[in-house]
Amino acid sequence: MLRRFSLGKALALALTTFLPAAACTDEPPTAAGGELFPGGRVPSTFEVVLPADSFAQRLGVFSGYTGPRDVSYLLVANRFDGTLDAHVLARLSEFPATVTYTRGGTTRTDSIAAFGSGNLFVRIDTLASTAAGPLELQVWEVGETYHPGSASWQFAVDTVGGRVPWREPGGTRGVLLSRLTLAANARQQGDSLLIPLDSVAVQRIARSGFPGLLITAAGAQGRLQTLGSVSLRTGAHPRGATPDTTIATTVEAATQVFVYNPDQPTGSEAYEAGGIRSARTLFRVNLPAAVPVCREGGCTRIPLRDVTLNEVSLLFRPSTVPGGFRPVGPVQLVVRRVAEPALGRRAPLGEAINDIAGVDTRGNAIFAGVRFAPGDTVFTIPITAFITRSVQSDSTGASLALLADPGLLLGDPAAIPFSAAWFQPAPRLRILFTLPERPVLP
Amino acid sequence: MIKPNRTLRALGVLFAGAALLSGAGSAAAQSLFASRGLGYLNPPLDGRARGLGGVGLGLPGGGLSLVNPAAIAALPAPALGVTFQPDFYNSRLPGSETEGSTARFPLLHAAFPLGTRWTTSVAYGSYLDQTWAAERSDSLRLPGRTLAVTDRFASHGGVTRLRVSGAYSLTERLAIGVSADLYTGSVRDTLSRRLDPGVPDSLLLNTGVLVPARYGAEWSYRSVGASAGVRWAPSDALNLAAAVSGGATLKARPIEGSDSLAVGKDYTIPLTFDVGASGRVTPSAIVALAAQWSGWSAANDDLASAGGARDSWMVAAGVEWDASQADERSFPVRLGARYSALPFRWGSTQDGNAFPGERALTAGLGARLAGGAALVDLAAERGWRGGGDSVLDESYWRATLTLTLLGR
Repeated sequence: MLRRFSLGKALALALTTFLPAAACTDEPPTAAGGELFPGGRVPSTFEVVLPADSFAQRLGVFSGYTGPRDVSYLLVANRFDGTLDAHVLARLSEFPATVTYTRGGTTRTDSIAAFGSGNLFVRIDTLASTAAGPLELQVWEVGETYHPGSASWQFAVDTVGGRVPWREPGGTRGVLLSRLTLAANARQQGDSLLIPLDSVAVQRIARSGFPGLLITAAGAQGRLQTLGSVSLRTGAHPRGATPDTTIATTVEAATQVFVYNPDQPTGSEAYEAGGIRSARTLFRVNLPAAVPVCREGGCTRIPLRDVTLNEVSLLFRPSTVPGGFRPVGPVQLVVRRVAEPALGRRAPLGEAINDIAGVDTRGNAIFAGVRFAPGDTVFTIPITAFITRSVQSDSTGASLALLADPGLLLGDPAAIPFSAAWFQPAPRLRILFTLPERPVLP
Repeated sequence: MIKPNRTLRALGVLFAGAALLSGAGSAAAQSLFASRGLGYLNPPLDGRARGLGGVGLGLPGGGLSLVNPAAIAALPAPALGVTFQPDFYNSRLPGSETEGSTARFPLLHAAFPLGTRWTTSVAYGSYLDQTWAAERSDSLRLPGRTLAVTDRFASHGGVTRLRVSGAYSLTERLAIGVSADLYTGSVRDTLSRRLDPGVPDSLLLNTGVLVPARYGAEWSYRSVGASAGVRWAPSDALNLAAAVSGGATLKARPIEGSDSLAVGKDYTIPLTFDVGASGRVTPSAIVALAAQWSGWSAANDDLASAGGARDSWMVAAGVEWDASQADERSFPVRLGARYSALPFRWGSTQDGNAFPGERALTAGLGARLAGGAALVDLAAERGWRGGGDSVLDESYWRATLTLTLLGR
């Protein structure tokens, strides 16, 4: 005889018994090897590399968007690549007249009797610094008055009110305050650099009306790039304290700039990007309507919109950058859209089109600059997503700009590289694509 | 007579189970042989039938397997059966071996006696499984670089059978049954290629990930069918049963929104004949036998591009031993064996003998609880597939657990 057993209890028991099992996840049986592919069909992938004359048109190179006052670093160079010289002009803030210190548990503010010896302190960007041999840094008192906002290699003052050339191009040297020899490889010096100044030099710098510091380089060919500004670290002697009392004091730079010679070269047939003048090359990419596919049965052309674009990349071959502006470290480059290329130098830039590098915490795409490193024989810029969108929207091409724009990645517009990247005037377009292979019923 | 509210509750249970089934649908894969023809045939058997080698009809007391529509006539009360079935398989192709596990609900069945002679049921059972995947690795040599290539074909889905049955007891020893079947399901096929250029040169830069190529299509399967069966117990010691089922054309059609270039196709659902018998050879033991023939060769032309099909057949035998029949609680023990000739060719049509077979040894344990109001049937099955000229060999362990609840 059956006992009473309600269907409600049955449901509860059934769910309790089987639901955990239903929640299990598993993978379908997966074989390795091509035997199981229906009909033996697998996708076919091809690559074509288009020469410049079939897709690219160089519209022009423009520069002069930035200068040494737009960056946060300083550059000292001595005949780098046999050509480039660069000097730093810096004025320090007014030295303090009083100092506050604690003695015997009592805080005192006292006037300063004198300053002791000290050091000029800078941080070195070792990736952007190089020298063929020992490089001597020399710190001078500027030998004539200059205008920090307009001084250049040729002019101490270059304003609408008039031009005053330096008596000595690159900054007239006055009294030599200090010198320091760096080993051939600045990287071994560490990130921090201290240039010693004796107390006489410090007192000279501290005096009212000091015209400024001029930092130059001599010796081997090379360049030294800083991170951030120059500061003076010295010791102040309070007037009411014992003679051996020294209070550490730091005086920051009030103005600083570097002047260089020659100016960033341009006007070649190359595709130029970057440098202290922020060169950019405008060019147009015309998309092919079809891509060639050659198999055993012969060749045919397949419409671009009928294939899957696995990768579309611009390929550039580097060329020599003259004037000491060659990259000594990685340079981040990007490709951005240009809506109105006819405006030339003033053509506004659109969005970056090179493939994204990731997504930030807010879900926004990060368009990383593509790193061009010295020694690269081919510079590849993937633009797959942009070209795919263009094909899907029946666009036949786009005007683009190649430029250095590290601010996109680093969030620091001041991180404009001093070096420029040049490429031969014949970029290629590499298209890696897969032919459609649709599943069919058995 | 069953009360209406009980019927509603029972239907609720059925739909809850159907929800479970649909949730587990993507996990209903069990064999790489699902890659051939219309898939892997998975008969909707309960734990008792599995424990007896696959004998799904002609058993004392009837049952809830979807083989014989007349089997439900022997049920003494409303019944609900849910079957759960995990698989552990090992597939071997030349040069590669794959292991894995799957789980599914191959059978859900609710039966309702109406009066003393009529019994009706609704059921959901497995039919064709097309869930499987294959991967292939290669390299693509291009000027200046070599790309790693991974191709993958993945098929998800299958065809299931929804059945409404009615059985009538002509006498206490003779019953007939008929059912209407709705074959329904969908299959989503995806073919993809992944290209990997290797290690990215910088974390900050474009990592060089290449856009994968991916092509997909999804088809729905629909058809209707019917089956009829008879169950006859000429004596207390002997049960005989036979059933036949068939269907209209199985129509595979691209699902709207899927690949616009996909085209549909029609397949023949074959006639299938089942016979089964069981006899009590000792007071505590029965021997059960069953055979099945299915005319899949009717679909040979439909499946010519996929290798074709042949008529399939199956024989199964089992022994059930229950020493505690007098007690309210009983725990029958079962042993069985089965051999099946699978219908779909593995290789091309030039491979004449590339039709695989399946053989299995089974064991089972039942538990009759609460005075017969709750039945638990557990079966373990060790099987092998392959043979002929097919290069694929599989072995598997399969467990089948059925919980049957009877109410008043």
